[in-house]
Amino acid sequence: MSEQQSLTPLKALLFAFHATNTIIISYLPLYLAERGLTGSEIGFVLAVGPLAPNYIPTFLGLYE
Amino acid sequence: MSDKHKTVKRFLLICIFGLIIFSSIFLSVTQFYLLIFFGFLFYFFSTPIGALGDSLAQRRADDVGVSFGTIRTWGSVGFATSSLAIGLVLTIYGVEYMLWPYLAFALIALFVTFRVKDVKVEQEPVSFKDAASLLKYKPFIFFLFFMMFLTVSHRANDSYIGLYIAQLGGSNFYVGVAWFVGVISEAIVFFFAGRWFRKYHTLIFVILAGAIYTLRWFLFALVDDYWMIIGLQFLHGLTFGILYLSAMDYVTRLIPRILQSTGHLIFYAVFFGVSGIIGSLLGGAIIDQYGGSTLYFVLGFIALSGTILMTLYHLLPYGKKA
Repeated sequence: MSEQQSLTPLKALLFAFHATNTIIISYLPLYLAERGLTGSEIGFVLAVGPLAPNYIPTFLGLYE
Repeated sequence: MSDKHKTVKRFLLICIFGLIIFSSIFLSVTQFYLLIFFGFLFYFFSTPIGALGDSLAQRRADDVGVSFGTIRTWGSVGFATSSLAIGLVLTIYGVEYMLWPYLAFALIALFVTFRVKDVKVEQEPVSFKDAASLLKYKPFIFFLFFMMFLTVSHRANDSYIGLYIAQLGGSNFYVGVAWFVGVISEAIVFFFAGRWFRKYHTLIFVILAGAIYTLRWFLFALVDDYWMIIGLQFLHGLTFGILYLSAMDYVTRLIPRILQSTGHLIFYAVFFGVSGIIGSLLGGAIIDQYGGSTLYFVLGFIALSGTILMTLYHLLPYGKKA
């Protein structure tokens, strides 16, 4: 496997992960509304996202 | 933690496993408190993946000798493809079935991650002491506080643009189209921005982005057709794209080199984290009581305040530090 080809799984990962992410970003609010939540309730569920500690890997030194 | 365990791939696999398990539960439960609980677990595992993937792409690009952009662009292609394709699928079957396309892409992500080539990590961890010392640095704090007026309005829109398009009569597919247009405009701005930035002081671009945000939200408030929202979505690149790049650039120059990664972490936490929480809660309360049009009027005034404060910051001595 050449060096260039060895990048293919990584490119596929970025493609697939960002594809999942779009579904959440674009459609989760509509999905929650469909489930019968009010605007304020949707606000609370969406506010949980940024609360989740994205920062753990950073404090472990996993990022640049 | 030993060096052997500090591999990006291992952490990615754990995150994607967690994402698959908790997205399945999160997108099946219907009670409000269960949605909150499993939503937290879902985000706990899914949130780090984006940055971990970028970090891996950066290192592999350096190793192989290609540019980061040629790898990262596949993420944007994934975003754009899915915003249209899934929009179509969910228009036909209904948004309540969004778990299935979600799981399909998540399983692909898991499968290919097993084949991803790993990298070792030698970076020193960010320390809480560094974070504490930066939080006492006044120009940095003022800048982040004023920036929050813009980023809160931005994140409130992230959460409610879909509902607004639905209120205006647009189907799921058009929500996808709106995001598609936004992402394309963002990619174009990211591509060309490097050339513009050399010409003026970075803060001028932050203020410019604020002015365009103000205009964008007032226009969103005034329209009565979802097609006009889609047409105005090219402003996403000119607002978010310019703000993100210029604010990041300003922060990089403002803080000392040794505190750089801690500074970026705090910047990121304010831009997406704190602003996301305030934007979602505030936006939800307003759209409930007064509807989407009023929400965008309020966002317009918040962005206008941020633009004025940022202009004052630029004129006062604090802004001259970088």
